[in-house]
Amino acid sequence: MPIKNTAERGITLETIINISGLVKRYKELTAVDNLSLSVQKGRILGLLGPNGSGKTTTIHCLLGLLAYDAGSIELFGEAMDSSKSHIKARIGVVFQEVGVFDELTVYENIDYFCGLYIQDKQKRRQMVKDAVDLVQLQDFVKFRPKKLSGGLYRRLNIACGIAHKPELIIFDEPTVAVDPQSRNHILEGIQKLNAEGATIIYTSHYMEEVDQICDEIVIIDQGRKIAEGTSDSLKASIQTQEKIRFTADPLSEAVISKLKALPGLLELKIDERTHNLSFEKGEGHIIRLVRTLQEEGVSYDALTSERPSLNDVFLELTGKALRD
Amino acid sequence: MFKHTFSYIIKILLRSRQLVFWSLVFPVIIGLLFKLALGNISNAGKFEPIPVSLSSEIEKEGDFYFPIFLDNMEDEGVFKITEAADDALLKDKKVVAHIISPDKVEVNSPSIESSIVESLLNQYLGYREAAIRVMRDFPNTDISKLLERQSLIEDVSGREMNMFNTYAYTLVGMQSLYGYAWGLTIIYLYQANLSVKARRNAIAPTKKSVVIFAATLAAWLMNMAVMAVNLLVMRFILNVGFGDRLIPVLGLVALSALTGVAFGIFLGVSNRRPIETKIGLGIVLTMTMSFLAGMMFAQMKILIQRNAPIINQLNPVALVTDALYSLYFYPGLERYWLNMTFLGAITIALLAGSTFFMERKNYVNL
Amino acid sequence: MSIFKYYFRIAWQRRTALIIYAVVFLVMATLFSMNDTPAGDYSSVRVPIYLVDESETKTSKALVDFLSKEAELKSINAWQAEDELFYGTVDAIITIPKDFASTRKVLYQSAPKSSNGFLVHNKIEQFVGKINFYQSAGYTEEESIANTLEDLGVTVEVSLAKKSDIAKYRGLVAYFNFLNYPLLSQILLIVSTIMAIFNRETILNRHSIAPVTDAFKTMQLFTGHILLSLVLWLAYSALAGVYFKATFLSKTHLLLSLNSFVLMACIVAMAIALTKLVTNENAIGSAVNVIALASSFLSGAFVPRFLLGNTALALGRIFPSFYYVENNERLLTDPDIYAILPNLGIMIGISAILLILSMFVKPKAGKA
Repeated sequence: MPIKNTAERGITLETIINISGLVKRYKELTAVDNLSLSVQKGRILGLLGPNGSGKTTTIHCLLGLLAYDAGSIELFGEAMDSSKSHIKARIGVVFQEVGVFDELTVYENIDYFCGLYIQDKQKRRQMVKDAVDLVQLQDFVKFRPKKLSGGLYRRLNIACGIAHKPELIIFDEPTVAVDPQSRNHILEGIQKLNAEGATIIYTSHYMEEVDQICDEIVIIDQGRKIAEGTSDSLKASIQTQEKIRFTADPLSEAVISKLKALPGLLELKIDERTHNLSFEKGEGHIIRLVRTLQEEGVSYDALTSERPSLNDVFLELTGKALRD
Repeated sequence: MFKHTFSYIIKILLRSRQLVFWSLVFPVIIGLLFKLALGNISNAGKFEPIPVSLSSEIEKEGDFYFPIFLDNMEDEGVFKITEAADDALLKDKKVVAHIISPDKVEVNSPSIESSIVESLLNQYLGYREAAIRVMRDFPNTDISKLLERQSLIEDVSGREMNMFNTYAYTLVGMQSLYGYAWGLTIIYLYQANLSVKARRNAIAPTKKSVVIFAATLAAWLMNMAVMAVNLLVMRFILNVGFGDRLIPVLGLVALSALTGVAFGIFLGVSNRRPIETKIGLGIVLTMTMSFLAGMMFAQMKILIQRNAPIINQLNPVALVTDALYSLYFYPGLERYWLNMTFLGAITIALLAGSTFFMERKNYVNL
Repeated sequence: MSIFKYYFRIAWQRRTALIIYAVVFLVMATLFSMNDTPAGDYSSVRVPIYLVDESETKTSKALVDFLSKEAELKSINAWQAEDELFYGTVDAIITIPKDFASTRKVLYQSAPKSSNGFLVHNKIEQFVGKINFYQSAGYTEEESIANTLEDLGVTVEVSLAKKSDIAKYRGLVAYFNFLNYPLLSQILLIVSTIMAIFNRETILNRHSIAPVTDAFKTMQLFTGHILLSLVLWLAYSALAGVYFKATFLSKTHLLLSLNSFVLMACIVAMAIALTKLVTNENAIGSAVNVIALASSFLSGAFVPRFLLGNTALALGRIFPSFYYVENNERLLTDPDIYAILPNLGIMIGISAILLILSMFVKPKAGKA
């Protein structure tokens, strides 16, 4: 059920989250500065930004945990605050820090947290089983959390947050310090949840993950939204459209001048033997480059061409990289 | 929701090994320590025959009645007399006093024993004077009849007083307040600005009052359980007397256990210090209150009672100590109920204060 | 020397517990100093009693007058009297009943077979018995009272075998005895807590890979321990001078300070040994309390030694505090360095053993 095509089919989706003009200050620091965003039902929204950009603060405000200074937050069409139990019942959160009981087993942890939402024991039993299956912790249900590796520990964290099958799930940097295999499991699991109908907010500073699973992306920095759109639209919005790289021995000034004169070239960066060229939108960049190198008798290898990444988007918008 | 929270919190608390171990073991160890160190305390200051040496020159004094007086003292078990040529035994600290003559005695240092020797000799000298006076003014009087000892003092002393018990009572009080650890543990699960698990609980569609009530009840039960175990150890292994009224003792245990939990909850929510500081503060405050209740010096409690009784009334450990003491020592329950009332008031104040701090919908800072 | 520098920053953050212990000790010190009795020649013990005269006759008033000189009459509330008797702050409750004039009987309450009670008992007997004696002989009540009072002027001459300053220094010795508890609690707590932090798995690993030798790291930590303990010791030693001005810088005071200095060093050694055993930061507080209380009780710091049973004393010998308190008591009658040297040696020996043992035990990397 590819939901991604729904908007193209002209179907209007229900707005699950609507944040408007959110402002949160801590004394002199403005952690969130006039942020507005909305998420439609069944979509995965990526909230991308470097450490300290205000992602977690936004999430905490959204959940009614943190008081904010201005703006409004609506969930499921209703103003959200901590007293709205009926809204809370429809939300699941996977926090950045793992919050599980060392004294309970994997199964008991999931059952405990699910039990805060689902009273029916039989229904809950099935839900806990589904959650265990989703995060693939079947072999570890009797283990205590301290005995789990980092990746499995994080998977338990996720299971505790989603076992009650919420309509809206918020993942706050769920893959920090996780091995690649576990990371893939986690991302697959999130996509599966989305396929089953959940609306998801996914915050991260890992652009590859956001690129991989998110329908829409909001990029924030220093508490402000600096761009939003799909992955493709964001990449298309910046000047750099093609990045070509090759390695060669240090080039002469003449060759460098010739390279700099290539049409559409935005930037040439040389880092010892690696040469990075950024080109604007256009065709034939790589052909012209190869021709120039051959004409000048430059011996090169490892020639690659790629589309810009979200990091390039962020770099162009802010002048700094997503990750230091 | 209540049942779900309650059963899981009990499970979590029971499996918190460090917490269970120290709540149980610490008071038991201190109790054993007390028994070792203080088991003998009731025998302190008990009267034993006072060893004295008697100068061999005494007979030369020519006081006829003095040797008779000394014999009587020895027969009555007041003195234990050794004859000595000089004060060598005194200097060796083998005797308390060296009697040189009826009106001259040498001692090592001021002490209760030397004061008793002094007083008895004064009594002898006084009667010697009196006899002389009477013989002079009423020559026909039968002095021996007058000197017959009459019992002029009616001893109305009550129950045997065992000071060791009172140290044990402070231990019960200390343990009740040590239960702050249970309160601190559970409140960290429900105050969103205190832990991630608490945040999880905060965003769940549960009624905060219900879940916190369930968790508090679980913590209370745990504290009561460890106190009950300790009470059994004290009663049957250390032979501490609690009187023969079980229900009031249990009532006191129940209420004081809640006081301890409430103390821990209040510690947890009233300030933003790190958890290690709160734990340390809990211990230090508990030990301070125990000290003021007389745990290290039993007389501390009575000195406070004399000079600043309000401190005892605000000190849960002192209230527990006094309630147990009154159950053991007095037939009525008035004093017990007075202590229970104060304890109840403190508990309510702690819970109310905690509620005030917890009554937040959200936080300015997580 | 960053470890050394940060040692004190961490210690400062844990100051609340230290401050509370210090305050409690100051309260105790104040009480001790109030009990400070001046030196002098022999004087009789004046036993604290609670006295009620319901009769208000000439004889009863004379008895009250007599007892007020021979004993210490405490003005407390009637309902408090039994408590005070139980706790030993009052040794006897004497009631002169309404019918005293006819019965000549005085009501007396005290702890069974109490020595202090015996003295009071004897004094009452002396007075009332004497009046009865005179009245039975034929004197009037007034004459009997007058004669009795005259007889009381004839007293035994008490001399001291040797002049001693025991009374003068008793308060000071009690101060130094009790000092054992706060010194133990504070030093053990701070040193163990800081060591537990440095022994945390993550921090231990960081130090292992840093270009800092184990020896250098240990030296910095050790210096921190000593310096911190030294500050505490100096403060308490100096405070003794404030509370006991009359004996400040006397030979006894200086020797007591020396004794406590050696104790302080022992406690640092104990703390280092403790951190090898207990790595959980939460458990440390409880462990410190157990050791501090056990050591203080079994060494005679709280309760006079003659009250402790043989088992208690045998157990007490494992603690340096045992020898510390013994030294303090010795200094009361014999203020000489040679009197305390053997026990100082034992204390240093115990510390050395603890330190050597610690060197062989690798710290268990702890989780907070």
